[in-house]
Amino acid sequence: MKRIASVIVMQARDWRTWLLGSWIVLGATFVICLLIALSIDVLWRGSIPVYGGAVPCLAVVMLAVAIGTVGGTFPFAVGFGIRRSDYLLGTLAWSVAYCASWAILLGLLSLIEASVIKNWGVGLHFFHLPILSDGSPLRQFCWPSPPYNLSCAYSDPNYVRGGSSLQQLWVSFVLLLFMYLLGLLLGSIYQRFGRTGEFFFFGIVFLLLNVFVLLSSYWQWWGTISGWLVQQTAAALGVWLVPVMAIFALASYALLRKATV
Amino acid sequence: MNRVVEVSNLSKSFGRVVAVNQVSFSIEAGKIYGLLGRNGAGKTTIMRLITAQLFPTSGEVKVFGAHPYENSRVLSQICAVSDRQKYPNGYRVLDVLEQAAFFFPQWDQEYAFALVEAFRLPLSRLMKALSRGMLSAAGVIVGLASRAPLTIFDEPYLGLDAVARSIFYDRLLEDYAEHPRTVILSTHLIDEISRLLEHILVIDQGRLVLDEDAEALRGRAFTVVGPAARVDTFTAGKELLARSPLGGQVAATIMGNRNMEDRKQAEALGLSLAPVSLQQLLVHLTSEQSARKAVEVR
Repeated sequence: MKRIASVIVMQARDWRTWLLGSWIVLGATFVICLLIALSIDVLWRGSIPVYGGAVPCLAVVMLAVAIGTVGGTFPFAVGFGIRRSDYLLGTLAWSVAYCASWAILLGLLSLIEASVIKNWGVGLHFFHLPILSDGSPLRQFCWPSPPYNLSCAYSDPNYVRGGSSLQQLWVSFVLLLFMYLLGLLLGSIYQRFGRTGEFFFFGIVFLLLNVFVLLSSYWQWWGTISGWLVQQTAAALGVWLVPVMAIFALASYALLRKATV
Repeated sequence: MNRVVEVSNLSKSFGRVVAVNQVSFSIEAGKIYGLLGRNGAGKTTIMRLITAQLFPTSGEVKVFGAHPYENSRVLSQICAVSDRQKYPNGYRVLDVLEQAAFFFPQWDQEYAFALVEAFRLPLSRLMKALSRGMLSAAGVIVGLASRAPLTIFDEPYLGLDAVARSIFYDRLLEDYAEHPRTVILSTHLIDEISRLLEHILVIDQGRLVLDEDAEALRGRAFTVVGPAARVDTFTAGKELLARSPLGGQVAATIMGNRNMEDRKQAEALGLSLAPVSLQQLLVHLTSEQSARKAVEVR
């Protein structure tokens, strides 16, 4: 237990890696979106809402941070006598805490955007996104023809309200954690098999996706699949990610168990 | 006898390259060992196998009586410092020292900071911004302050200047006297550390070619210094290991123990006797081994 705790401390101590990067990317994206929203507000007098996405943006950051984490901390920890299993358990605990903190922070910013400074005064939807709350995320495909045809979005009341705060928190958390664990898996593949391993992994994933697309087209599964997806809320889709995350974690463990430094 | 490390028939191959070949030795508690050999001899691979950073192709490693792999009891008693050691990207020197306190149960933070002063290491500098020598110094500090029952220094002084190296040797001896533990020093710079070593293991091309007490080893040869003609008279009929002229003088290294007869003869010829340079002796012994192996192969 003590060794696992020491890994959590080790991860937390590397804040220059996990904190600065995410703030810089998120901050820069927010400022750019704000400027776009501002210019639209000035030019079209606020008739067009601007949608940016804090959670998807941060999710990409999580992926990058997690990939770097394995390369940066695994050789350090194992080189100084930490068990591989303790490293993984500590890092998993850390990732849950890290993603949960971000989810809470995003929830607070979402609250500010929705209620305190309404859309930052310029019609920007950045933290409070209906697609990532209780509405179906797939309905966003009704948007290709804004600004005049938002009927399908507005027809769903959850869409505009953005679901309950708790559901929003859950969706942000699960999406961030999913990307973090995917990053851990990619980092573990690199640690275990190097560049060749990464190459084969992506080759196989690409191949499987192609087979799936082909079969789905041949057997005409697309209707069923999209029908099912549209019925799912973002929160429910998040639940479906949990078993996938468990697979990522187990695969990372299997890889790191035999990884050398 | 308390054995800290037991290695039996250990082999490690990387593809077709055999880095470690059927090596067996044991390391006793409370001694300073030298694991010596040329670059690429397999020293680092052996260190990494002992600390479970690598997996053996065949053979067995036991540390503190158990397999080190995924064994917290064993791993927490080892501190292995290597020039290959990586550090997290955002870590400063201070972060490494504070984190080490969590990794090593016997860590002495006060001592670590005293060493930082001695090595003049900038605490707030990022590890990735350190020079080669400073990075080595940071590793040496971790190794010393860890007070780990088994402390391994694998080529710890790459890039360290002469002053820093001498600080390292002095502090190691001081701290070893106060807090006895088992130390393994792996290096190819033999002469500088020879005074520290109590037992010597020599690795050559992945094989263990020498496993001997340092004192006994030093007794296996000696050096005689004096005018060329007289030295030649003295060395006649003896196994000559090396002969190097120093101005008008000659220093010759001779195999064999310095006995009374030798001393008397040297005195009569006006020659002075000196202990052998370990480096010279090892070069001789290992080249002898290689030659013998070459003959066997033929």
